[in-house]
Amino acid sequence: MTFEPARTMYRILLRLLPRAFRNKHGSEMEEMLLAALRQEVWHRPGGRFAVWMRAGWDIARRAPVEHRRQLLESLRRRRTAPSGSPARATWRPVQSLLQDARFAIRTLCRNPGFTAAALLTLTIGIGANTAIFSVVNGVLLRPLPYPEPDRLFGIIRFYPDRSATNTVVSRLDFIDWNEQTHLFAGMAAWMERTSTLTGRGDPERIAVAIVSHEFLSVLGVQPILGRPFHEAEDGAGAGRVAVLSHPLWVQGFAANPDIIGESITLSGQSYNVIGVAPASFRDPLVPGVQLWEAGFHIRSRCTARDCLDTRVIARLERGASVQQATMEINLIAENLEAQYPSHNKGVRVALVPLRDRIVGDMRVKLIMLLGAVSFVLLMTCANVANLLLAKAAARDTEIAVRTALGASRGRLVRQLLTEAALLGLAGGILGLILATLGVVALKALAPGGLPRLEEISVDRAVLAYAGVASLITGLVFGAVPTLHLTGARPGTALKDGGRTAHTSTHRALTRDLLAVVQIAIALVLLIGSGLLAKSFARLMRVDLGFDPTNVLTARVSVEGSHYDDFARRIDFFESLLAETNARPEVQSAGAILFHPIQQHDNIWAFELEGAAPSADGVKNYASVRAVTPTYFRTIDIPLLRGRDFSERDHDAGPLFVIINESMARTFWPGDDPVGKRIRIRSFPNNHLVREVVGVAGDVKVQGLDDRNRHVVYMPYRQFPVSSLDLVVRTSSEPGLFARTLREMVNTLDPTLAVYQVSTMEDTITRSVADPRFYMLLLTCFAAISMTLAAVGIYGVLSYSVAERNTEMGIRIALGARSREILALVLQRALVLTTIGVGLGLGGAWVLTRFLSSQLYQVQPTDPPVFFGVAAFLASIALLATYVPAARATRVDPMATLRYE
Amino acid sequence: MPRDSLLPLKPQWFHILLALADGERHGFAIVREVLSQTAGALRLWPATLYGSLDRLVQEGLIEELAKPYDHPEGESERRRYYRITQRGREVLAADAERLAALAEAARAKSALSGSHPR
Repeated sequence: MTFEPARTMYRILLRLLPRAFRNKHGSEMEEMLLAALRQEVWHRPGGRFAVWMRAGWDIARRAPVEHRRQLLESLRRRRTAPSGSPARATWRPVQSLLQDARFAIRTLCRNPGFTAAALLTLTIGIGANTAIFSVVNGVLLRPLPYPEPDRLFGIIRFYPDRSATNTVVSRLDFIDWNEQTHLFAGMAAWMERTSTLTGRGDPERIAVAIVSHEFLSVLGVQPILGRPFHEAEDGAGAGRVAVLSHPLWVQGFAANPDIIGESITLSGQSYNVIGVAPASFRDPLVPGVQLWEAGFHIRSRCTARDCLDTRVIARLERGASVQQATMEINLIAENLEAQYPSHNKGVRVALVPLRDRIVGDMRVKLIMLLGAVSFVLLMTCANVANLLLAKAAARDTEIAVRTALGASRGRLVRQLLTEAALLGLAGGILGLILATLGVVALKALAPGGLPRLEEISVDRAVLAYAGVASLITGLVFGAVPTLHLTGARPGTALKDGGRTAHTSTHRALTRDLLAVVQIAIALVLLIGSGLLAKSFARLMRVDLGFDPTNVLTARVSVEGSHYDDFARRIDFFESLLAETNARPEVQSAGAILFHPIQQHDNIWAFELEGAAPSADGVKNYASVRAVTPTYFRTIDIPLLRGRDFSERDHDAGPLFVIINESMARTFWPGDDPVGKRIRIRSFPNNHLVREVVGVAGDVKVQGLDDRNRHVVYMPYRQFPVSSLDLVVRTSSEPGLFARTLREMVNTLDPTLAVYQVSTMEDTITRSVADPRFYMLLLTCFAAISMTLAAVGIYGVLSYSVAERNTEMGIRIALGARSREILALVLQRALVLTTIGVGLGLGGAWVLTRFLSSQLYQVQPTDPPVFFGVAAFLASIALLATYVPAARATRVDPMATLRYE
Repeated sequence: MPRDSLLPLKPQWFHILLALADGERHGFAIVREVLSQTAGALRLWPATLYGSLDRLVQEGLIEELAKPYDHPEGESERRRYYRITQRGREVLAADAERLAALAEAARAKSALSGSHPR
């Protein structure tokens, strides 16, 4: 039997011992352990394990002893070095710094309880801060991963008279801008799509972008294989070509280096692969894009200037300013307005830095988190300062002795600051470890809406932040006790053994102040998280307008030339629905283009028949849906007036719509809309008059917090789009039906992918992942700070009770009852808590307005939250004071009097 | 350091000194000797053994042989040999006397016989 693994393992254990010890005895120790392992006596079951346990315990017990000896040894050697040696003179400042550091380490080791408490607090404070900063750094601060990212802008529509913006612009406007501007090095257009990739096992749905040929060059990216797009490939005539993302190339095509020139099948169309993007390249607008295709001008469905489907990225010419470029492009916009008054009225253009365009409203949320977590750091400082103050009282005598022996004030301050800085540094290192774990956790838990997620990491900026945070923290909490310590007069301190009236009053005041600040900060954080929690609860109780229980949704797109014939599409979906409805586990099945609670929408302009066009040119918009006759019944949306669609509402007959309640109320207030007619751009025919046959109840369209939108439902047969969301209500667990559904689609047409499969309840849960995430994080911070505040006020009162022990003893001896003693202590706590709560309420009043954009149906100054949380925190604070107060009542008067 | 401040000796020090009383030994031999001295009751584990040996050297109770010389059993050259010093013998003797006196006192009170007079 070989003992080499055992030897290696023991060597690892030996690392715990000081190096000198290891070098001297290591090999003999190894032999000894191996001998023990070999020995007969251990050859019983578990014997070897017992040897390892004993050997491990032996080293664990001995390691601190040996390290301490090593340290003392080296100190002794240094002290005995000749003091006048030139080396010493040159290094005096360094020497004294080292001496301070060594002394600080020893002091900290002598008070393990204090050190552990301080380190734990600092680790949490600095760790939470650094973790949140990593996110802020990755998302907001780090430059975009493209060359010269500061010159990249998104170009958006801007309506000055309505102060509204639209990130989607007209394709035709883009063509004019691109041709007529001179201050841009390049401008590229971008459209979002999803396509089905077939020919490689199961059909797979992937996110693709249709881009104009300038796309890669504007971003400054060269393909690692192949070439970028050519101008000719934008229009008709050129074949369909695509550039693959690196992940798609690696996972989908086994990183085949000969991929260039190969053809792939996307949604039934054949594409030539012309390039592969670099591994670091991410689509700037949608991070999940796996493939970019050319043919921008022929793939757009828009033919008019008021049809918006294009996003524009531009790179500013070197030397051109944003103002100049904005002015230039708006001159063009004014010309277009004059040229096309019906479509471009009031349309201006704005340049948004690409980073802001990507980050969007995430900035507000992240800054809110960073603000909250800075408060936690502040709490940390206050808590450690408090701990240091308590310890400082115990050190009065030591400091007095050192002062009496001639230590200068500066030297003492430096000593104390060194101690604080060391604590801060150690806390910083531990905090950084916590932050690294925290970043991993945050990335795993972050809601899908967080952009640039993969760029979040602990990098140099984060390291620097942690370093600066811990240093500043150390100096801040270190400074507080320093001020008092050096104010102590050695004479008094020595005379009465540390119980000097002057310093302790002064110190008590500082401690009171710290406790007040802690309560105030904790209250601000608690109120913030309380508001978010209330808003979240409101959100979860919102009336959806439909019944989500036991509903499965899945999207199916019919693609390829086969389905260019609308009759085939209708046929496919109707047979799929008929088969689904025939299943025993299905109660009802219907289909809709874009089921509720999703960001996808289809917003079109419409006019009321007979109404004059509005004077300011502002149009009415509605979300347009295609539904099958069984949809409303399946998802349980009530029909308030009129009738449901039926099989008879087909292409050849008159065109009908059902509108929702909000739309009916807005446009026909107090009137019955059934029988009224609207003109709405439609497909396959443009601008046709449709008659309202029914009014359906309102539903939440884009999310739980959505306002009530105007919705127009059209019968699928009269609006045969290529994608539908199947909506299936089952009699049991809906998730189980997904597999059956896939099989049914596969039987009908094996080239079609079923995707976005989810139960309605999961969809709802996902839709609130974002607010839930921020609420939980803020609650976490609030809980930490509340604990710190409770510990803080507990510490202040315990200390003051200990200090006033004699006074209490005398009071009890003179006949004070415990209730009076209790009241005496609680009174102080009450005063501190009241001041802290008052300050906290004021602070929250000012600060919560920054939360208002995150709140749903809750005012940022919601009185129940403000006062409820304040009462809660006050009772926690008073609870924390109960222990020291009760202790005061148990003071033994005889003991104190004898001591006096 | 005055001799008395070392007394009473820590048990493992006492046994190491005792093991070295009749000749120089290396670490492993000390472990075996202590095992037989105590009838297997005390097993010295490596870190404790060498930590103690270092301290004993520091206190001047034992000394390390200057170099691996012609050691008796002709074993590996890596091993360090230790020998008890005069001072070590004195401290050992003093502690042994202390223990003997204690044992005597116990015996006088019949504590060792196992019966407790009431």
